[in-house]
Amino acid sequence: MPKLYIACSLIALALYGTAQVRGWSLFGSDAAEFQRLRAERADALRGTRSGGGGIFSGHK
Amino acid sequence: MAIKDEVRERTAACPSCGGPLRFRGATSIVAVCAFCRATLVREGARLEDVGKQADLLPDASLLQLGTTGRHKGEPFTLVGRIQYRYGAGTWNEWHALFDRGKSAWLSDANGEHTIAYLAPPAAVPAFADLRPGASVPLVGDRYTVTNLEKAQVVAGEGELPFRFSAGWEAPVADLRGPGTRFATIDYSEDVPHIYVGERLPFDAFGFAGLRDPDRPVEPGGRAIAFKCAGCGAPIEKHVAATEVVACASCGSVTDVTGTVGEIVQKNERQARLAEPTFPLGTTGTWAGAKYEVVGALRRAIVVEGETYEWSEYLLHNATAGYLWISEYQGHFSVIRSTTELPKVEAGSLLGGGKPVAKYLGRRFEHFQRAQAKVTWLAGEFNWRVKLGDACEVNDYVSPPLILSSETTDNEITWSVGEYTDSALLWKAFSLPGRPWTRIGVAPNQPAPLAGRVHLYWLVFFAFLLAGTLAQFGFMALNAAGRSPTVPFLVDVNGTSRTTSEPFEVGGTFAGPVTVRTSSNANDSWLALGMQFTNVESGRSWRLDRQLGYRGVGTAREGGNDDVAEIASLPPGRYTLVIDARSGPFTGTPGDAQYAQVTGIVHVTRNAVAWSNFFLLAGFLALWPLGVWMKHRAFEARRWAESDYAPDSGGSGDDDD
Repeated sequence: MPKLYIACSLIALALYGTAQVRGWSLFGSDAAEFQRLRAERADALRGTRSGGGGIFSGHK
Repeated sequence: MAIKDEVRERTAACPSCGGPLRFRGATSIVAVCAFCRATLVREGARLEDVGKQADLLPDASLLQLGTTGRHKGEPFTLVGRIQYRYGAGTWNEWHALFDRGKSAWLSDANGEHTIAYLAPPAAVPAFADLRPGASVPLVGDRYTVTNLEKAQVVAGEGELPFRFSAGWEAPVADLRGPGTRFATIDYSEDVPHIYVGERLPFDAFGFAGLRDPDRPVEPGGRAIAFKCAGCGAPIEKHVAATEVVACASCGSVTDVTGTVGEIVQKNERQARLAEPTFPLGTTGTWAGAKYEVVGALRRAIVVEGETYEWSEYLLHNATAGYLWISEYQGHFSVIRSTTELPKVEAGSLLGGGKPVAKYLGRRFEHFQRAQAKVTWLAGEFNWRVKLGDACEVNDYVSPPLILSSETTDNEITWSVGEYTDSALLWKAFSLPGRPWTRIGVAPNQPAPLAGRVHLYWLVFFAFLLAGTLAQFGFMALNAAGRSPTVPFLVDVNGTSRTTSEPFEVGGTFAGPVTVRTSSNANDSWLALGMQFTNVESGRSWRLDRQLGYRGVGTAREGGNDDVAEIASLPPGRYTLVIDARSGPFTGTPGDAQYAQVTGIVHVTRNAVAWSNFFLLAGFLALWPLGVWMKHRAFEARRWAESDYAPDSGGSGDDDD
């Protein structure tokens, strides 16, 4: 019998259950994703300005 | 010479010596006097003496005249015997007489026993047209030719149903049918005689009155001494059935069936086998019987220019007969003759094109076809083996078993070997030292993980099922129900407080809750202080957020919506207090100016994550995948030595 495998699987199942109860997730939540996208947009905006390119590049 | 005598009812006196004769069978027409070996033919009431019988050759048969047995519940007695000689040795045909006068022939060849009854005459192929492996229809079944011999009568004893004489030649074909069925076609008469019966284990006949198995070959002696007909070195015959003895010194093969050894094959001095694993004379107990190693030979095949050589040891036990032990690179198999003729089927696409042999309900896959040649031999053998003898070998595997057919011009034989732990052999035969280190993978070596791969997958699917049920359970338990929404309003450049009606936050566990806010704050900023208060417990959770845009040079950054999360909010009834503060209008002159900022807050219990489930499934699959890959690697090593190795094209072509 694959005792070690069964033991590890039981532990994994327990960890999985804990994660589901606690709401842990491997991937970011909707809120984290929202913050990330907003930060990216802000960085892009600042990068465009500091780089001298784009629509705000001096042709105002 | 003809001597007339009065035949009394089934008994008579030998006309030659006066000894008593019995004719127990109504069909018995010949009796050999047990005292003077006169051959007496019954013709009506007369007895004709047709001369003395030659001496029977000593053999290892445990049967003798008077031995009783049963077949399909009917008792019989062995009343006569004819001994035949053929290319590979001798065998006995015992005349078995049943109680009601029915008779049969019980064949005793090298410890293999078949019983056959005369069948009605039928059209059969001519002897010259038969080949080993050919299929012949007989009495409603299909039989396969296994052996073609032109046997010669050596001598006879007891009472027999036909006349015969020493040297009389009988072309005989042996055939195997479905299961244990067996047939012999005797071509010695104008109309071939067909005998149909079955091959059965020795014990199945329930024999009684057997010869003493401990009786030595030679009275008062352990073995018969001969001189090698090649070099004169002393050689010995330990087993009565031994046909030839191969000299360990020169490799010459001597016929030891007579009283003086006669050369069968003269060989030059052969290279000694470095150290035979099982030296000749080694004894040991295997499967409850005491065996002695009586012969050893090495055989070789050549595959793609490379020679592969292995050893085979012949072991003998007086009652259990012969068995073989094969040795190849530290791998051992114990081999016996098959009890039934395996059925070979053409390969299917599903099976990778490998032919399949079926034996005793087990399926064997074709492994290799090659021409095997004897390259070294020593000791005694029950057939006339010679150095250089070659045959086509086909191996089929179903670990731990290997099924092998050996085909010559006139014979096809099948044997089945079982992979055997060398430590068991070392112990059984009290061999010195430790078992050899195994090299590579043997064709029939059991895979260490065979039978465990499916066990791992079984456990995997059991846990996967548990995980799936748990996943859907969590989803049901943590169902959010309705997502409450709370509207709010605040004057531009002002503040407000909005308190919601109590609402339900669903779920069973304290888990994350997502708070989504959307507003029309396009030209101002908005600060929100949100406080969730559990109606029952009074406990509060605070969330502060900033919305709206701010100018960065000529550009604006930000947004009029927001997504935030409370990491752990227990299920229950809550009120939400929203303290909103709005900044001044920052729009460009001419834009539509709004006096109030409005918005909505959505509170949503987070869905149960599937990512954890897939992570669990992936983790659980690691073990069975690893075991399966390891098993596949082992099988790849096994089949790399076969005709179906990836680089061999899988043709199964002959390698000789």
